[in-house]
Amino acid sequence: MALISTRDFSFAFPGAEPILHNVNLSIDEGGFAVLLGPNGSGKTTLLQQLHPVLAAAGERSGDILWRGESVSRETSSEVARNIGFVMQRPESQVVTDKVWHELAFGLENQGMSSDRIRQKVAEIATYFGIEGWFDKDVSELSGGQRQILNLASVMVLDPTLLILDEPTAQLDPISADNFILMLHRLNYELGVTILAAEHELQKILPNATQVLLLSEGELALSAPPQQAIPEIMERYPELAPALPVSAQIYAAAAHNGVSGSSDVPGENATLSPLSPSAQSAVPLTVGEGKRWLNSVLPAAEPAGGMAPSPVVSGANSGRDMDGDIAAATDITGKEPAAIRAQEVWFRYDKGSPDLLQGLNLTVRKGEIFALVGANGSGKSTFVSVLSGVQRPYRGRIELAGTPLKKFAPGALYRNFLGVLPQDPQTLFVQKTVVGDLEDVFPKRGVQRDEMSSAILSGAESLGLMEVLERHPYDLSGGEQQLTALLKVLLLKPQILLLDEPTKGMDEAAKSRVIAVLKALQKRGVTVLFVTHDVEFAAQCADRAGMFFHGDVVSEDRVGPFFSRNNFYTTSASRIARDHFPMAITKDEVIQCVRKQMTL
Amino acid sequence: MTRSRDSFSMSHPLVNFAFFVAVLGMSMFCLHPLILGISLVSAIVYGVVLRGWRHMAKLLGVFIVPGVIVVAILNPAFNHNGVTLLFTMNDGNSVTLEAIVYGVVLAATLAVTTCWFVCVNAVLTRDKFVYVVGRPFPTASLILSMSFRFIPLFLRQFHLTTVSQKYLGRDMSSARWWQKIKIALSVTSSMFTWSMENAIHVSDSMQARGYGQYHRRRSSYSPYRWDRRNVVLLLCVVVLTAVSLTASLEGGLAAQYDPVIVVSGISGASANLWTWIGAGAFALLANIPLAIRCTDAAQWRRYERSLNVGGSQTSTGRIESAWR
Repeated sequence: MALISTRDFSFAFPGAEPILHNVNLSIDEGGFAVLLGPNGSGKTTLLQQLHPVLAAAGERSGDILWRGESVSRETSSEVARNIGFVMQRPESQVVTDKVWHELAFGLENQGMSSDRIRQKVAEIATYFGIEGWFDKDVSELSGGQRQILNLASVMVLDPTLLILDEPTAQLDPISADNFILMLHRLNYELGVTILAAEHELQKILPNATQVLLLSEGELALSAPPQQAIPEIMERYPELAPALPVSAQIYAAAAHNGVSGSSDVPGENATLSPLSPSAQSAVPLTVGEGKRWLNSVLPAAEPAGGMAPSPVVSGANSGRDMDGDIAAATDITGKEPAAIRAQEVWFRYDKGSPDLLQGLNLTVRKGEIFALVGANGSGKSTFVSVLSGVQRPYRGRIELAGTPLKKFAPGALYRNFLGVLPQDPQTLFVQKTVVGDLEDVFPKRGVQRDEMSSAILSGAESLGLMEVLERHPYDLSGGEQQLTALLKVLLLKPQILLLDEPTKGMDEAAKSRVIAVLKALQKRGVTVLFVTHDVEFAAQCADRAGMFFHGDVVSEDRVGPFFSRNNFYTTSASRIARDHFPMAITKDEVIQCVRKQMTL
Repeated sequence: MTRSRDSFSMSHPLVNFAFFVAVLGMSMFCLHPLILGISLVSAIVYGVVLRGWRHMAKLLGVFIVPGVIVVAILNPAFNHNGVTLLFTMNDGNSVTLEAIVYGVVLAATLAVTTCWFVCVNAVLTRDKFVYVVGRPFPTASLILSMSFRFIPLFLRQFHLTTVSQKYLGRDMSSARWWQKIKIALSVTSSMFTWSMENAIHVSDSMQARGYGQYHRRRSSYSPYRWDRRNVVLLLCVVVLTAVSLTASLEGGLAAQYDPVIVVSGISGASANLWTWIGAGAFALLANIPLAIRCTDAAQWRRYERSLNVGGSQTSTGRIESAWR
């Protein structure tokens, strides 16, 4: 019997258009359901409606059933106790100041005795590996730790159903992986039923038992992953880029041209070598993808193991097809340096450790440079040092040949240096998105129509047209990030520093950002971004560097950079490196696979 | 000297709280020089143990000694009571011996209190404070805990917002005054929106975890355990305080500075048995933290030695650790 289900459930906020139409979903006890859907499809509203206490007021019709019985006014509080809810932003759902107190909070609400609370808190802290930071202040934790704490302080109440609203959207990939592994453990070991909204499916889908797709307020699909994936590929190609890379490569090879890059010559080639495996399961993980690729391609050349060999022709042609990258590498040697950091040392206090230790970096004009590295390694500190907010105690920073110190405080950020900080909300000061964007322009001396055309064309290219009149805080995390980026871009910077620009974005938004940054690059704008998102870095940047121990180590063009890395690299490269060592993005791998098939 | 492992800091918050109430209470209300002297020395020594001698020396040099001098000078300038006239000032006001002495005593009380508060800060950490308040008022403790959560979050967001506005060309440091007002207004409005948004999320999170959903009374959990060691410590504090108070009530610690100086054992009254009992009890009381620190250290050394005797270490190792 289903644990929770809905029968023709519709919902509208008071005085607004219905946001959910006749939703019929059903989640079995012990299941792991993933809810997907584009931004603004009503995912959050649906999840909140399922929780009797969090359900917003509005017009409802239809039923929500708990173990087959309609949830009524009398049973609602009992149902609420059986549902745990984890929200998107890790900071704002923490109630108290201490980790141990946060864990005890829900139990205190039940009026449980101190002894019993001690037992339960001890048990949950051990299970979640919290013992090491049990006595800490919540403000000392990292984002990933905080989200694990949120999960633990919900799980301590023994919920039967755990609902999560994009729980990893604000986390770096390593913390996100940890979090998803923890969800998998809860489901696998404890049998907790899970319903999670996510748009990054790479890691979560292999563990899921059910995929739910919400499209414009309707439940468009509800099926196990193996059935859901082909259907999403076919009916919702705009959502396909969010699927696991293995599945995408598989599908592109099997269906030949479904997943976007149909500009490849020879796409009509027959795929007879694939047909036996096409009937087998869709590969979801990197390992499955690797096995599938081995089964359909001739064995990899044994010598190719050590160095990326240029012999593998498919890979090279894949790279060469990208004219932008080839052109950009040609200019990098000659162009003047836009950003130059020479032996930069920085620490916050006298006693604290050096976060930048003799850092050297040169980014040339018109280049897109990606700086990748772990959380808390000091990447964001480097951005604030480059942007002149923090001053290095030793070393030299030049922007476009001029020492940073020589810039007047007002002149630096006007039409010269654009900085996108990590938290987009800190940029918003107005009540609507469009008001916030207009706020960038000075009150006098700007033509109204010039201003609105700049805003509209920017909003168009980043896909923000539909949210212009909304309050910035009502946008999804990804939309907030896009709005903040646009706000910075409206200042017409020549040098752009971006701190985690893709946090919370779905794949469609990411590809719009890439297009916008590449267009800026053609106009000679220099971009340096700091990111955990290796897939984005591989697709967007010309060169990349690894931030480690206060310095940039192993900087190179993205191709060699990621194909040389074994751990910090893209999923596509992990899957296909035995066959195509130089192919690092999934499009490149797809092209290589196609080429190989047609030979 | 290790500052991290302080036995007294590791005991139950109620013991800590009782101790500081007793010591501060005695020091502030019993103005006997003997008590003040004992209290000052104990506070400084314990402060040095907890925070290091540099910190205490800085505090004494920069804050306490100048403060003491100011109070000692100001009191006779405004307080003209007392029977022993020393001289008359130009404006006709008299300066008396009693006023000067009382000024010095007041200044000493100030110094004692300040020194003890260094220890209070180090021992009674924020979460212990929340716990002590929360015993009689559970709701107050939840509010305190939530505030302690919110304040650093707010300050951090405020800092980030100011920096972000700087990135947008709104720099406080280079702006004209009317621009400054505008920037301040937009930062304030942004912070207001953020706070409201945060409050909604927190309230959702609280309700989703059952806050206000149960008819039973909220309980209040604390990670502190009440064991035999704490009982003994609390008993020591209570007994020693009771003895000192009795001594004080019996007149052993009488101290009066106006209009005549009557201080038992020093001037106007002779010392009696209660004076010595009271001072002794107070000296023991004020040094409880140091005493248990030393006993614990000795216990640990004995333990280490017993391990060595057990055989695995050589005789030189044993001698070395004995010397240490």
